Amino acid sequence: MRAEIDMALHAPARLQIVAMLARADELEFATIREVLDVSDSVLSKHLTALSDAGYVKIVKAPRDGRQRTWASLTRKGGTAFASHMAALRELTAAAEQAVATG
Amino acid sequence: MNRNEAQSALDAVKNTDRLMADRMTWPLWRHAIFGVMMALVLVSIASPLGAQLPILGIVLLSIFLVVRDDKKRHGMFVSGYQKGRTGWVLALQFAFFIAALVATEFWIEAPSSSPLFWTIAAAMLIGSTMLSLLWEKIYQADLRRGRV
Repeated sequence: MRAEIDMALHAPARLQIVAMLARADELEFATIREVLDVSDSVLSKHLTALSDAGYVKIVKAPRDGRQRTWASLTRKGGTAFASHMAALRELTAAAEQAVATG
Repeated sequence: MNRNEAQSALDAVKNTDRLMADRMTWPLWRHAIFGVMMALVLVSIASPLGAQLPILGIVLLSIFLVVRDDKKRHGMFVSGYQKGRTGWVLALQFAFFIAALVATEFWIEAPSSSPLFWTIAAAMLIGSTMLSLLWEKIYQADLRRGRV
């Protein structure tokens, strides 16, 4: 796996959404909103961007007479997240090494 | 992206993982249902052909109801197949089931009337329930320590 900063995951909220989805199979819109403490419109915007990038699959399903939105991570999204996280770790490790070696 | 931004992003993910770990708790009955399902699969394999399908039907219905309840109650569904150390628990569960199956198939002639078989089935129920509980604890610990 190549460690690479992914600009689609650069926004902290987007990275957090993908991190949440990487830990579960499916998450409801309201659950993501509660954990991240963001507004409906902000979350909707980020989910759409992640869906457009092919990282997140969005499904709408009725429950209790209301339409619910469910999100899950695609294989492409999982790979991008792993690569982005590896790049972040490399970046911090390299900076720490540079400080240590003076 | 500089070092501070990278560290800040990693911290944000860590914080999200901790928040997820806090939410990922399931009641004891949810683990017990998993234990019952594993025991039922064993019972169905050891049963005559006519009984196998109805028992497996109950297992499939249970899976459907559990997934539906998880989604409704927690707003999420988390299957057993996750990254991290929980893979060892799954491997243990698989080995436990195979051992019970081999014991049933090779040592017990008429499972339905054998006290040993029902003891094995009860052990499967209790053991699988405990492994499910262990899975939850390890998954939460992995999330809190950033191991996934």
